[in-house]
Amino acid sequence: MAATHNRQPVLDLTESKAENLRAVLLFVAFAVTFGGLSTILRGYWWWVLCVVLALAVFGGGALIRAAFPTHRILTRIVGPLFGAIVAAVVIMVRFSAGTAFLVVFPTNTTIELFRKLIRDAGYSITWQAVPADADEGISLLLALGAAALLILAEILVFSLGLPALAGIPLAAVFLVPSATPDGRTDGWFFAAGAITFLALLFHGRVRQLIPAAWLAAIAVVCALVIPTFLPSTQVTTATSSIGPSVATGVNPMINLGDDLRSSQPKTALTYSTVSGDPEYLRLTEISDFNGRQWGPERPDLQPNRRPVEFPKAPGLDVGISTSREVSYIHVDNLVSPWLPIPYPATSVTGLTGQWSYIPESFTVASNESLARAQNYTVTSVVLTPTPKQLQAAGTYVPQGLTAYLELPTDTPAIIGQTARKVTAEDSSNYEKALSIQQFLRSSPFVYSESAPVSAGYDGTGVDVVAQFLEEHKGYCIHFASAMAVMARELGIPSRIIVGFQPGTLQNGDDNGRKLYAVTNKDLHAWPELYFSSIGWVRFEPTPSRGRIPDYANQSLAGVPNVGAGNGANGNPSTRNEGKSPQLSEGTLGTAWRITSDPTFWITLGAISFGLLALLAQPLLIRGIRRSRRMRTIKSGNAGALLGWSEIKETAEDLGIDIGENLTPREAVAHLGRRRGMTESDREALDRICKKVERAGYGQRFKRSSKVDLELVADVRIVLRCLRRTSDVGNRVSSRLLPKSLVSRIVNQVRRFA
Amino acid sequence: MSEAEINLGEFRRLSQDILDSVERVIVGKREAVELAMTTVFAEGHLLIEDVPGVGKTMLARALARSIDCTVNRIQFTPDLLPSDITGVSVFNQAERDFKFKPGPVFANIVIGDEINRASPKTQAALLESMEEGQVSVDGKTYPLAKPFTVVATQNPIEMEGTYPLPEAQRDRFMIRISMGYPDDVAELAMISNRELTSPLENLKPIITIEQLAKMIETVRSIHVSSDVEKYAVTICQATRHDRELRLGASPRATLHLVKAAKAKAALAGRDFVLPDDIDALAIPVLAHRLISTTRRAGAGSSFQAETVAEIVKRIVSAAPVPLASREAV
Repeated sequence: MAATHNRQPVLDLTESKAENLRAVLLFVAFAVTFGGLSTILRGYWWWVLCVVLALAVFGGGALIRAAFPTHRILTRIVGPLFGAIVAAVVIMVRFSAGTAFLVVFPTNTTIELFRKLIRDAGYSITWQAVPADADEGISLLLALGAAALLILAEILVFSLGLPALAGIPLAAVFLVPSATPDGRTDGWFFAAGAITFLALLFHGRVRQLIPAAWLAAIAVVCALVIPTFLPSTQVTTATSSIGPSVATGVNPMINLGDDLRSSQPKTALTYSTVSGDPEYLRLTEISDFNGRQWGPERPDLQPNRRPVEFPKAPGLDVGISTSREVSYIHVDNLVSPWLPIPYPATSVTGLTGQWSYIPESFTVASNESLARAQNYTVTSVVLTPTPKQLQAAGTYVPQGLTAYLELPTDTPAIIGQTARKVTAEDSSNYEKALSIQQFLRSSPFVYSESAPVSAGYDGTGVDVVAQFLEEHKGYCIHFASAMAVMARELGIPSRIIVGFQPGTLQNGDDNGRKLYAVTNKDLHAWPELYFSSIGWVRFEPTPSRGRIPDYANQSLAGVPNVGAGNGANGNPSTRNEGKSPQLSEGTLGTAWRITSDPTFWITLGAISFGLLALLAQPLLIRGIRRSRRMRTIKSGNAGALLGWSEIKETAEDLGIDIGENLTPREAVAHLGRRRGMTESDREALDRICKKVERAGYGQRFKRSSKVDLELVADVRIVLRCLRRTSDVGNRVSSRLLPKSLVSRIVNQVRRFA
Repeated sequence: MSEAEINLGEFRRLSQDILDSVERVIVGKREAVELAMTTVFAEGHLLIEDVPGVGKTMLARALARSIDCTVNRIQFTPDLLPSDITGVSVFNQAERDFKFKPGPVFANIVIGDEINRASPKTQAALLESMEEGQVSVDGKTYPLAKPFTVVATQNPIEMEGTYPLPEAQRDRFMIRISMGYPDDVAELAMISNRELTSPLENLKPIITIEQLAKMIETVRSIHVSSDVEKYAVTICQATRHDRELRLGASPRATLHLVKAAKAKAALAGRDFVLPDDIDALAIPVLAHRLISTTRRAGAGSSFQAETVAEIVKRIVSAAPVPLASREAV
């Protein structure tokens, strides 16, 4: 009630000063929190834009408040409105690109432009790797989102007077990176934002600290827990996923490790082939080895390149024996702009949506559709070159393949040295490829999905390859990139393919054909090397994964045969980490399964800990409150009234109704009537009651200030007997969700409102 | 403690003695007797309302006898004149001057029997002196005795030949009690008592008028915390806004409530007032001043009294009890 009275003064200078300070703090909090997006966006101009918007919204509101200091109601409505207008002007000036009337008034062209930009932003988000370039579309999307959150904050803090709730839009900004694949939240930005936010709350009103602490705790737990629950998080604009999905959205390379490590196998697709043989399904290729993070380039998709008919596979000569294969592919829940198809396809039919093939890589992609729920038939050829043919290719590299030989200038020397050492005795490119494959498949190289993460070289790039060659531990990405880079070092054109290994044979069948299921655990990367007259040929350098093609599995020039079972390589303990297709058979479809994957247990542990921590919050706060009170009573600084408050709150927690309209004596009588109360309990209650009455209603100077140990003991007796006489349900709920605490928070929120 | 007071232990002992003494005459009506004593110690006036023959007058007289003070009794009749109460100025032939002859109101305890049988004019004369503590006759004012308590009895108005007290005058009484019929045990005991002698005659004064003054002083010194004051105000205010009440409690009612609560606390040997004291006194102090919106019976009827008591009970149980939070963390 006091709060409403305080708002009455018509002109309160200190209040307006406080509001200005609050606006500044809010501005800083948002500026810092927007900075946290730097983990997913490159450059800094987008940040400048956000800050300008924050300045527009909060500055606009402050301006209105300063202009009409006496019209509180008016400023509450007009403030955010004005801020929104200023923000809109900023957005128009920045993005309308001359299409707006008098720079700020949108025309139809502007609206069309904005639509296009937002659509572009959708593709851009789907295609770009993290950290992404904040192109025009993404910037516009960011600006619109930021403006909405800023206006929401302005309304919450200044119009409704609920600074504590400003944490919601702040947390929303903060959660963006953690909801983005590979987007780490930067702890420093978060800490700085949180401190500013706390300053905002602390400023003037100490009591808001408690809800603020709650909010902070919830935000932290959400930031930790939510990303782990999101199914292989992706930012897709087309549809939101309903069931668990396999996502390759932004960059398949990035999700690959996560998918392999994830403990939850999710079916990506099922397929059957006419021949009944399993096959590798390619999604995309990576041929540009420059940069910190490798990823597929955004292809130039031409609408006339319908995948109904493909050109001839590059480099494939008539002399190579091939066979025709037809695959029936049903995609379940693969969120990807790339279509999984075998290599080299000659036609894909049955697709819905706009799909185009990319002639260089022989992959199929779409700017609008997703692979999800597509049913299509792929006709392809199966390449079966003989070792002799491969050997015959020699070291000749045809023209026009220089792009597949380029290496960054800063490629570490160890890669080239290792490649040359391993292939010192080989003459042809084929021998060299086999040697590299054999080198990577044998000791001391071991397959490990977790080692690169813990050693900090999980990812792609030439530096990662160099480190992998030293550490000897990694998974398919590392093996595939190592082989590809080493091949380029030796002058063999190479590229990395991301796709699926053949998957697992299922019990059911597809019109009499063998049915294979492919899960996110089958996501795989492998190198393809180019041989003259044959074209692109797959190799399998990753131990314990996939299957080695026949042509790469022959003993030649003294290279020992590498068994298809490849159990001879790697030590047994590491093989457990690898998910061989056999292991996951029969467990498909189970949401959770027993796994030895440590990351699963770590995640589970972290989630459980987070949940427990959240659950324990009320218990902790209530416990601290109780023990602080008892200490205060023991120290003689407070007496019966404090003990009485504790008794009343405990009773409330336990669901015992002591209304505000019972006198202490009536309340004590009420408690004394509970079943299971002993005579000594009642005596303790009566003693407390007398002391409460004297303390509460007696003359102040007559109150004793000496330490009352009897009181401490009596309060303890009463608290115990209250618990004892309550049923189990009430006892548990009193611990987990103390009503007194809830009503305190509710009251506080009400007071601010 | 000043000279004018006595300590609470003594207070309690003396009040218990009076209680015991009065109970010898009025058997089994401890609550009514206690309320009567509360009124006396709180310097208020008492209205005893009940059907004839339940011992209204007996209670008034027993209480008066237990205190060694001047007691006058006025039997109100329809032909009673105001001057029969206040007194008259009589012309003294020898001194050739008017001499004031004080009426029965000049006593420490005035028993007004069947007050609703007198005409409103006469009732007004008594009630005026109750409030003012003085009597004006022929332009001269004469102070009444101190302490001064009127104990009036009346029959419920559905009885024949009564003039109900107007609201303004009911408001002057601090406490209204009704005796109620005695239970069978008490009634039997009463018969056996009366066989020998009149028990009233055997009552000995327990306290002197000086002691009564000191006890009243002690009651004045009883502490009322701001929380309890707030509580009393909350209850009285609630009666003014209650939809079932046509007339709420006056500010005088609030004062009376707190004063009576002080006396009650002192009777319990406590030097401070509890919200429980307020609770216990709410009906005796407030009920006779309130008028319910129910039209089925006029003010003062027994039906009305019951309805109003229920309403007061509801208001009291709904009023939040403040408890000092200055110590609470």
